Amino acid sequence: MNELEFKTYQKRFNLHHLATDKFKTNLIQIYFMLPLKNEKEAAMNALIPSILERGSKNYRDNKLIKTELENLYGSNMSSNIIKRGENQILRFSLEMVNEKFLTHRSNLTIDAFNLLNDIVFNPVTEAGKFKENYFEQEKEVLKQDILSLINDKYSFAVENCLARMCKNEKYGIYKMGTVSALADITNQELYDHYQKIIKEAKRSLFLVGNFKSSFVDNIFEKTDLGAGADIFDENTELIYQTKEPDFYEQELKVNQARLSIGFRTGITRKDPDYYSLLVFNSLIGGSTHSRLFQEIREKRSLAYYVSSSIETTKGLLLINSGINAENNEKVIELVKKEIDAVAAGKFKQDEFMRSKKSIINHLKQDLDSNKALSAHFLLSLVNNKEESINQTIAGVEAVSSDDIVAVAQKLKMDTVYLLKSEG
Amino acid sequence: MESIYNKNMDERLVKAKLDNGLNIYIFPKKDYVKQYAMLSVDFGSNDIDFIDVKNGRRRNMPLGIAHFLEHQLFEDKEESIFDKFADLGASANAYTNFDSTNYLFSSSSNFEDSLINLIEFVEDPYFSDQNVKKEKGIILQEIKMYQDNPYWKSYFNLLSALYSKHPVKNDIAGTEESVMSITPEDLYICYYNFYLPSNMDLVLIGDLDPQRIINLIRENQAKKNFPHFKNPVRIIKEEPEKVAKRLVQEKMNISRPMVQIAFKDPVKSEEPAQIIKKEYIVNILLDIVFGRSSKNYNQLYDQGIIDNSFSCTYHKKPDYAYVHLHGESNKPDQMREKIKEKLVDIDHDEIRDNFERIKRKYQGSFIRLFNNFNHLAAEFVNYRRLGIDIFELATIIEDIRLDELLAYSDKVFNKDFMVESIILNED
Repeated sequence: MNELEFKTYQKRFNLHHLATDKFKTNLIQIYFMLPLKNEKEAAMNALIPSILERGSKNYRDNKLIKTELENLYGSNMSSNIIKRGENQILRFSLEMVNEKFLTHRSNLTIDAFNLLNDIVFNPVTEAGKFKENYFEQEKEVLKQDILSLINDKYSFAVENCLARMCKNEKYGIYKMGTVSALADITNQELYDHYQKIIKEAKRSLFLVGNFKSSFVDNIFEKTDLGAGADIFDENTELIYQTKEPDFYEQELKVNQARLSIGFRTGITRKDPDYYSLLVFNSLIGGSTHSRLFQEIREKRSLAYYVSSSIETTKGLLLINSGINAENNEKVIELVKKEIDAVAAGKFKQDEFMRSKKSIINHLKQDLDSNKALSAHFLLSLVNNKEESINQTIAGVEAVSSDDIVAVAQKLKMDTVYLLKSEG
Repeated sequence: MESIYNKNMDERLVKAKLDNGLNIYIFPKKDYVKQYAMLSVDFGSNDIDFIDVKNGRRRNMPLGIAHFLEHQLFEDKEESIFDKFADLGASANAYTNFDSTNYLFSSSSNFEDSLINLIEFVEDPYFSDQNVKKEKGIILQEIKMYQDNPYWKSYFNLLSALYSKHPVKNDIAGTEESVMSITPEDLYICYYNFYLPSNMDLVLIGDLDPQRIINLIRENQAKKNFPHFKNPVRIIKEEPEKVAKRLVQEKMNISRPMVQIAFKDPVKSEEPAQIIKKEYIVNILLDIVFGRSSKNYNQLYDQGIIDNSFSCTYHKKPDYAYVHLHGESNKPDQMREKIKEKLVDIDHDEIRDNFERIKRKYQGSFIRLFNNFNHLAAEFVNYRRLGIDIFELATIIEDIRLDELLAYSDKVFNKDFMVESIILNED
């Protein structure tokens, strides 16, 4: 039972099931994947989950839904909009306590699942549309969500950098669309779009936990999730180009300047170089042993945070730091210098080993979390390369120092974005 | 060594206390790959005023010194502490809050070597003019980062409105000025007074052999001499019952106004179990009145006064307590008025109708607690410091009665003790 690998059952849709009794809770997730097309569709896709959570056929309003979740020992129901490559993924997630830890309550899982199913597939409708006030209110809530990006200056810098870097690509579309595109959406159009998603979008169902076999065996009958292809990406355009980096500055009243530097790696999860990229990222900026952390923070006190992260469906690497604006050029130079050093093979064997160990440590820890197991599998599924965490670890083990050098040499700086204070 | 097995949760807790006073707590978790260790020092941002056990002098430390000390312990004469852990494949971190400083690592192999590393670096201070100066630059950037965070900003504005004397009103990292004034000598004084084994708890979680681990730590600690075993003597200034300020307002670059409201709950001396029980009772009460399934939340949501950014919690410690509600709103005045109106006059029938269900939700969240090592360790220490074992929580929640909620519902939300912190958009 403790292999911790997903098994796939192919019927009208794919069910991915990881059976384990390790956790105190069970996790059920329904996914839909939609290609990023334009801002309006992005906003429509982002709006649908929040309207669905307002009320369903059997639970007419949010109060009744939340009451039922509390009755089910505080089960958590959430929906998320995730951007992976040039796709939006809608995730409906439900986590409930495993009934074996409760003294009385044998059908918690099935009751919770019925609720989730009702919310996703049976929304409250009026005259062939969503309920009008749910539509209007959630449109306003989403508008506020889009606008609230500015409240988090870290994410604000990241999103502004990516939007500029990918302005001519679908990836440049914000995962929730824009306020003006949102304003254009009518209730009828949104409802028709919802129907289209239910019928046509790519889909998947995940189960992680200790489910009764009767539950798993009957799940295809119990859910209204219809036939459709699995959530494989066939949509993302990989751009890998040599160009002079673009520089952008934006002014706001802030205490700390935020620097965000975007690179093209040309490497996605499907590529053999993927494991080398993981190790490179750890070496350059993935952790506290990383070169940027050591050089920029520990040696020069120029920042509290400096880190790198990768997007492996679109092939991007991003370096982020909070600094004093006047140190901007110095920090950019240090970033370039560190990447060049790795590209020239100028790093120590123990730095290389730390980077590998760090990734393996984190991957192993993912085996202990139901959500991390599911997130790992989701990424591998989207990139059409289903692999278990243990397979990823084996890939990382095999990476050599020369492989890291090759990745560093491939890296192309594309866009530099600086948010700084006015005047 | 003492071992407690909780049948309902199917969890074991092994406890040991060493001769030098260090408390060790181990949760053996079969089949888990992750190993987690947290060394928690009972010294937080609130502990700035104390009697120095060395010479009996009263010390008033610069704000943010506990957090500074946390950063500074990662400095070593030769090698980077982070690298030492990284070489073992472990990842180290630390955080400081109002009442504790916590050093931790997570690993999936080499647990014993990593554990010795953790204990060694916390028990081996090295503060020099040069590395203290270097750390100041880093911490000033950390402070600036928080100054741009509207939630954090308005939260500390709120605390400064609630409290005129209690140190919880101060930002955990201190101010630019206080941080700049910190010297190596200050750090050594705090270290001497608070970093004693008897003032620390070590929590270990994973597929571990408790006896072997305890022996290992015992052996390590036996080799060391500690300068003294005196408990720290903290001075907490007496906090007046009434609030410091009614309202704090500020402007920032944000998308819409942010509203935070608190009700100060004057403290009296209480038993630990009572403190925890009250924390649960008032939180259940808040969920009934303003939680996601409540009449009020859904009404105000429909009217566009609040949305899912809204939340409410009751915080209770032995020396301070307050009810905290916050959210973003384009109708901040209506939000303030409505909250006041609804809380000051709570419908008892609503409490009666919803009590059992909300209590069940808290029972579920107790079970969930055991899924996440980091969360479990932090909560464990929190309750342990109050003198309660985490398994006892299940009984404390189970024992909560409706009439206790009804009694508190008329007392906790007193308009005279209400404060507000508002962040408005920059024009």
